[in-house]
Amino acid sequence: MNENPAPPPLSITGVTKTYAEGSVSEFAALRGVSYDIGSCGIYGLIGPNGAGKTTLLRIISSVIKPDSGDVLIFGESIRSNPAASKAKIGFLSATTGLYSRLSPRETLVYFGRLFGLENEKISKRVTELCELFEMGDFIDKKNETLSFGQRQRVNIARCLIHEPEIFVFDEITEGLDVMTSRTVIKFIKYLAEIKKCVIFSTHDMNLAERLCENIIIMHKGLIIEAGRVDELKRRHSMPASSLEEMFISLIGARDSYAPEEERQ
Amino acid sequence: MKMNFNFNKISVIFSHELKYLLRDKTTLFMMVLLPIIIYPLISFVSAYMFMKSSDSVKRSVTKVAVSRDEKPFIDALKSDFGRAGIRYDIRVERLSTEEVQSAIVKKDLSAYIEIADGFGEKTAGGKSSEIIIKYDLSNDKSNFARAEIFSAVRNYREELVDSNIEKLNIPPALIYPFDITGVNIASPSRMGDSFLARILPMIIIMFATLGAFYPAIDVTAMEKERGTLETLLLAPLGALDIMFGKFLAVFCLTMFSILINLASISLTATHGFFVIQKIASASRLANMVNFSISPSAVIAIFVFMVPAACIMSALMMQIAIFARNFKEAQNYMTPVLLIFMLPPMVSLLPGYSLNASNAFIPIVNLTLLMKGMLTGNYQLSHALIAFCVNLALSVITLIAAAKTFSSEHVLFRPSEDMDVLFFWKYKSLKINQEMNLLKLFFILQLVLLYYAGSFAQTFFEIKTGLLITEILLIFLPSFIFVKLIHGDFLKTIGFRTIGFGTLAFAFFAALCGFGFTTVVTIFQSLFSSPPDELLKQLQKAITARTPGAFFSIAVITALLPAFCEEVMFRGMILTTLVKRYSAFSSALICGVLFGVFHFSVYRFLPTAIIGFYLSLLKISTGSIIPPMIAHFLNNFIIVAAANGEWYLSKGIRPPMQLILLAEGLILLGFIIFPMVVNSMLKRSCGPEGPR
Repeated sequence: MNENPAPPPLSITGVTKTYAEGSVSEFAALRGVSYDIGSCGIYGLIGPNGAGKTTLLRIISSVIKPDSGDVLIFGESIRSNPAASKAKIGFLSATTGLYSRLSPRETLVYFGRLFGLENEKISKRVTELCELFEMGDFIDKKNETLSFGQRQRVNIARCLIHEPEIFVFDEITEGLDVMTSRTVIKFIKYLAEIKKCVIFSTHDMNLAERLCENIIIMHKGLIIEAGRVDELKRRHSMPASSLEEMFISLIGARDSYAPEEERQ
Repeated sequence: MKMNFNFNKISVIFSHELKYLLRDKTTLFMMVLLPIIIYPLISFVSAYMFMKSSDSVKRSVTKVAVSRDEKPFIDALKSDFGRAGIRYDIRVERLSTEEVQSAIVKKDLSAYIEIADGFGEKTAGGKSSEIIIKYDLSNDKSNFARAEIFSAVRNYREELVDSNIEKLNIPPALIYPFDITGVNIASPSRMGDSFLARILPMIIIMFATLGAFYPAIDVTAMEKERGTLETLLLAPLGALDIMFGKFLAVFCLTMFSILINLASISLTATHGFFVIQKIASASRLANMVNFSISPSAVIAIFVFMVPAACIMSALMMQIAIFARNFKEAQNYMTPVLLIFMLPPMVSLLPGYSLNASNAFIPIVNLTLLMKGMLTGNYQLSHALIAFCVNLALSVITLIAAAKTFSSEHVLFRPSEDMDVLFFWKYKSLKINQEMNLLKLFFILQLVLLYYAGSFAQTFFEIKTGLLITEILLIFLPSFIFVKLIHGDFLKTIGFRTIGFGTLAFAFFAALCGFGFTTVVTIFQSLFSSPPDELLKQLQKAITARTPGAFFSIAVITALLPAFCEEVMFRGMILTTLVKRYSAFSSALICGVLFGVFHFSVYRFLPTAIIGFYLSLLKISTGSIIPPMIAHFLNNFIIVAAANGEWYLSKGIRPPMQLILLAEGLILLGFIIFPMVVNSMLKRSCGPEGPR
């Protein structure tokens, strides 16, 4: 090993992204975002609609490419070595679906192959994940016959198949019933226990406050605040108020002097 | 676009997609079950219908009215009908044409035979008489009766001739100098230009299209609808790996679909069909249903369908990936389905076969080739052209599909994106959208001009054709485009009055430009002579014989193009180009487009140069009037010179000094022209400047 310290889990530098450039619907989703995650833990990404949360998470996961800037996942650049950075990311969003005519087992095997795992490794992982998420009853049924909660478990198992280090979740608790939502939250806590990195976006401030040590607040394509929850409250001299109140005051203060920037 | 493939990943995606697609019941039904059922069914039903209809005609009573009771003739008719096994009812009745008409409609009558007065005496006495047969071709029964009556009447006439020959003791060879014997040599292994040979290619293409349709949507738009596209992009593989894996799966299914169709056809042809053939051979329809296909034809068709399947799969995937769900995909794909399904219908036209020109039309050439293969009626060279054309197109569609798949914007298309098609709703467009619309419009106009323009110029007189082309196909679309996109027509195209100095400059530039292009044309003719056809066409269009004709020709070939073509090129096109490119590039692009627009390799270079300097003239003066004047002058000089040549041919010679002066001026223009261009460039780069 060389003297270089171990690279940080996630390092975002100057990422910009504009959609539909040169058309009527042109929209600058990210306007230069930089952020480093030095140590693992649960990070909550909050911000109003159109703040660029989904775009940022998709760029981190290499689903889309940034216009400029770079993201390093454990030192691997999403630009120069996307294969290596993708292997370390597990991504799940509210819109993620399943192949309806496949069974959960086939789904896991397919994604295992896509990530280039050996066949033996895949069957080992499938057995592990099947146990972990109690999928034994339905592992060989067609996905289309599964209940919503079962599908969510399959989806989570899917993003675990290649043993990623960083988990990126985009509003995955949104629209879930209490029981399914609890499964997801339990899962996030479990990931933190086994020392994985979780970065997730949500509109649920209470959930964010309960679950995360660190909060990242985005607004209009920029990160406007980031840090530990209590530290943020102290910085804005609102130690007694909730995260929600602080968020509203922060966003409100910014919007009041720049209302014309609002997107039509 | 980076082109590195990971074949391992491609095969993972390919096998997944294949398995996944084959689990879909719609796909399976369309691909396997339908072809297995449809061919026996089509053959059975068509054969059955033919037999039924011919039988019913035969079995029903053929009712004939004869105007006069000519016993020998009617007896001959009866015996003829009897021999052909036709049930008949012959009555003697005098009818008017109207009565015959209504009787045929009422099914009281099949045909009417009008016998001239004194028919019996005249024919017996060696004088000429007449029989008129009245029938209704649009009526099946009447049509059938007509054929039978004609043959009976001819037989009767022959009988008379024979008896005359006998009576007069003439050697029969004097009347019948030779015999006519027809021998049908069509080999039984061919289908002949039968109904089935015409319809089968169309059906194969149709099924191939349907075979590609659902899989193409399933691997693209459905990935978005299911929410699985994202998970696919998360995996460490490139957009191209995904695209090719999916493409191969769709392609294989399309080929599989073609294979099943061909197998079903040939099995129907060789085995499952002999019962109907037996019945049919008893009737006259034997050749309608008597078909068999050689295995070599089946294999050849399969091979030739490879590029077609490739085009279909790639094109459909490329379009379906734009859609965000199944329904949207179906909407976008309908025009594509029509593209693949309508042109193959040409194979239905009897006698229309593959030739050197239609071999270049993709898909259509394949249909005609298949028809040729089924009838054993095609040339190998045409087949090769057709194959290569489709192969080239399949490569193009594949590259285009790969490009589309690499576009994030397409994969994560926001909902309002396609709204640009409804551009008139917007107050102003971004330059990208304007460019795209311009491209679309120009291509449409080009296609319209190529087909409708050449049609107008052949259908009407050439002058009328030019008039229609200029006004309806060049000016009107440009006017509509400018009105829709920019609003104010005159302001947009730059219709501004100019000063005397600019006017003089336009004259000067036009003369120099004419000199330059003339010299270029002369140089060009050293290397390749202009096609005769072009010269003839030009000559015909612009030669006048009277001063009045000269005036109208000048209006149609000089004044009208100067206005209409300038509106299109220097108005519509250049206005958009200068927003994006520098003055020089804009003028160059506009010039090249102007050259392309003349649809002639020979005229490309001169017209492109003219287009280039006319564009510069507009940019540098800021008004469309100078290029209009220059364009008019250019065309007018050509018309005048061509008419001058006509005078020369009549022996009227202009003074020598004038010829020398003209030649000198042309040479001078050639030399000065680059300087003129340079000065225009300098002027136009001033305030605007290249972006």
